[in-house]
Amino acid sequence: MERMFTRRAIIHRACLLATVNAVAGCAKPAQEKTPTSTTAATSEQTQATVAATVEPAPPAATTVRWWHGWGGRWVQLGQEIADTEQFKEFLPGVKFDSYGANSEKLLTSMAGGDPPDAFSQMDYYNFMARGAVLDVGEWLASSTTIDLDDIVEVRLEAGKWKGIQYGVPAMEAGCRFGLVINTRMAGEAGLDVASPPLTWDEVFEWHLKLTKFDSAGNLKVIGFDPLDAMGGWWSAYDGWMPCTCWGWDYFDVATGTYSLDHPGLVEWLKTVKRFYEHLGPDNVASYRQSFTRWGGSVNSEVQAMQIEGYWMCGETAHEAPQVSEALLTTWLPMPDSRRGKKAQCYGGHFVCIPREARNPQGGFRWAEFLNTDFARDWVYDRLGWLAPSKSFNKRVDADKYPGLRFYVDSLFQADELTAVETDPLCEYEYSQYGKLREEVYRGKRTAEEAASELQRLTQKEFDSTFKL
Amino acid sequence: MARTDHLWWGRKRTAAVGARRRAASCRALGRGLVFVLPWMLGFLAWTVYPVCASLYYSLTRYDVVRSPVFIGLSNYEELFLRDEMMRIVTANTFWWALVAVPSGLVTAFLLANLLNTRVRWRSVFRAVFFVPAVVPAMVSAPVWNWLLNTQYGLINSLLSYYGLKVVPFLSSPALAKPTLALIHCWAQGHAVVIFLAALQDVPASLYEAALADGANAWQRFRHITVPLCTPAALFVLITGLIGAFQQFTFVWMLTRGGPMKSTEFYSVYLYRNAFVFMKMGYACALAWILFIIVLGVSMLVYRSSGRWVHYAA
Repeated sequence: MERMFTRRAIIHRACLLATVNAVAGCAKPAQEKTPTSTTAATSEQTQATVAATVEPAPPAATTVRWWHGWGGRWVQLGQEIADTEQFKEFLPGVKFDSYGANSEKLLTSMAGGDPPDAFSQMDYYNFMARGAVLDVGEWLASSTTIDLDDIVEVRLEAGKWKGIQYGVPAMEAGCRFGLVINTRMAGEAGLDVASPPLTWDEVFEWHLKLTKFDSAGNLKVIGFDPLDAMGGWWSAYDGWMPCTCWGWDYFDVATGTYSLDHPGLVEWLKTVKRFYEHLGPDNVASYRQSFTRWGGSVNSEVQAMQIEGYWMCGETAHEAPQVSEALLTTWLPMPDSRRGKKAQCYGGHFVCIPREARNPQGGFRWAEFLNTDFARDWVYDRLGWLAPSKSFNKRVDADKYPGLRFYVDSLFQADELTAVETDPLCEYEYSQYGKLREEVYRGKRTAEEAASELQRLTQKEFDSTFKL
Repeated sequence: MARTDHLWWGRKRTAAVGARRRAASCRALGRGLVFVLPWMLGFLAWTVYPVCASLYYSLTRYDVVRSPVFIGLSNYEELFLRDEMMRIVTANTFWWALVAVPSGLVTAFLLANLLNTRVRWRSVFRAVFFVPAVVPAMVSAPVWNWLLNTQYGLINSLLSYYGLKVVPFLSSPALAKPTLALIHCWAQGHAVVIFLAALQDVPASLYEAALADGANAWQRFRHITVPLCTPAALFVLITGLIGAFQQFTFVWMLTRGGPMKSTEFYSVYLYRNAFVFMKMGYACALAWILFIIVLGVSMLVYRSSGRWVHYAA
């Protein structure tokens, strides 16, 4: 007996216990979903068959984890909506876990076999094209909450990859491009806001009058930064502004062919270079480090104009109401050859469900909840985000937020209305595009070379990733 | 019974004793193995397995969400022959290794010399200069961002106040790397401590003898202090180089590889390929090349140490 309780014996047994626990801890946890959904194969046909056998029943588990890429107010709002009576009625007994993440974290969670039950605002098509998310076509078709006839068709189509429905249109959808002008700053500069600029040349003239430097040559106010917000952005849910502006489709999903070395991109890069040569590339880079993108500088009234999406109206009204009152929204500027053209792009977000999600039914129920009138109105009241619903867009009070009327009406008034490209390589392209356009406006490369290089790199990447 | 029986019994006893000793030895070995088993399992699971797996994945096209597809040496071929970014990131990383590491080493050595003098509140100064080493990069990076910010940073606000042109520390391709090197010099607390220990190991009798021979301060520093601190310098140099080739946190927090990829270091590019572009197979190939580079550089420095490192007798 004494020998059992010597120091050595205790440490000996503790090591054995630790080893047993470590080995047990490495065992894969039991899955909460039905066996068929855990064995979803990578081939699209088999995946469709598997998903069809899983019924959209209420969640068996008590936790629904939703990851999203929004920061700001959504960090708090994600939990607030789960505290509403309507949510508790729709998803009874469910603990809702809303978490701000990004595509890298999502990828890591998939690698670890523990992804969330649903995600939004991530690199959707990249995950769809690699078979990492579930086919939700059958669930959508049999849903008693989501009326497919009411969903804006381009959003439903945009949730597909090669004909299979992977994304449930939810959260928000609306027009992506408008020229936003601070009328107070424009008025002080002697500009006529009743005749806003229609072409990039006219925008440049306004920019010259609105930009201010101090006596030492330091940039104090930017008239227009062509790469701020939607001007410089490129994503799977927001589209790419040069395409809408110059009117071309850059990706053919059926053949997997890119058309990035288009004259439109060359002209755009030259336009950017013109603005940046005036501002000074180092000045703008410094500016962006201070004010970041997406509204910081406009809300602070140190930038007079930007290209932004409809959400700017509601968000600015909540964050900087005194600035919101002074904002005018109008059509995207055009090249001279397309002067007067009213071009618009309709984009938005989805709820996607990872293939290895523990509670895919719960994730889908969350997507259904987001498509209820209550959730749509709740989000609109707090953020000014529109829903991908025809009936919602007809009944919404577009005058609630200054500037929103333009975006809602542009859906019906545009001469050219495009949808986002279902491009799985947006993150890769954005990285290459950022490097190449900087080389252009810093004079290290011509616009033609940059467009050609972007085309070469992207096509090569797609061929090696998805065609072989 | 004759002598042979005695011998037989003796051999039997010897064999029995030997068997008992072997059994005891086996039991001792078994107990020892049980004691180290948790560490060994951890080592196998979290070091050996990932290393072997990464070698395999470097020979595949692998994006994490799909099964790996064996492609032989294609990743390495792409890396050496076709990837233009490799040239840029390798140049940036070697710049860092050749400029930031020696700068940090010299800064740490000079600081240690200052901290080795007999001044009031020496212990307070030592703590102050060590604190940067224990502050996480995630915490100090935003502070540096604020200090160096062109619009509202402390430094540029002062310049702007006096009507001078602001300095785009982190937004100019020409200045971004030197600025990061400056921040690197600030965080040399660990090296300072190592050099301090080395300085205190220098025998005082050597300084006394040199003084008696008429050596001035610079001569004592050059001929006594520096040579006898070279073993510590070797350690700091090798560990600094290993760290330099893996530089990530500050860069990611402050510049994300910009402006114009001037601060896109090897580790940043590796991370981008692995988690942003979902090219885990290619990232594994990058990791193995990095390993070979770091090994090669470390061996080179170690081999050269025979010429410049002086160990005290």
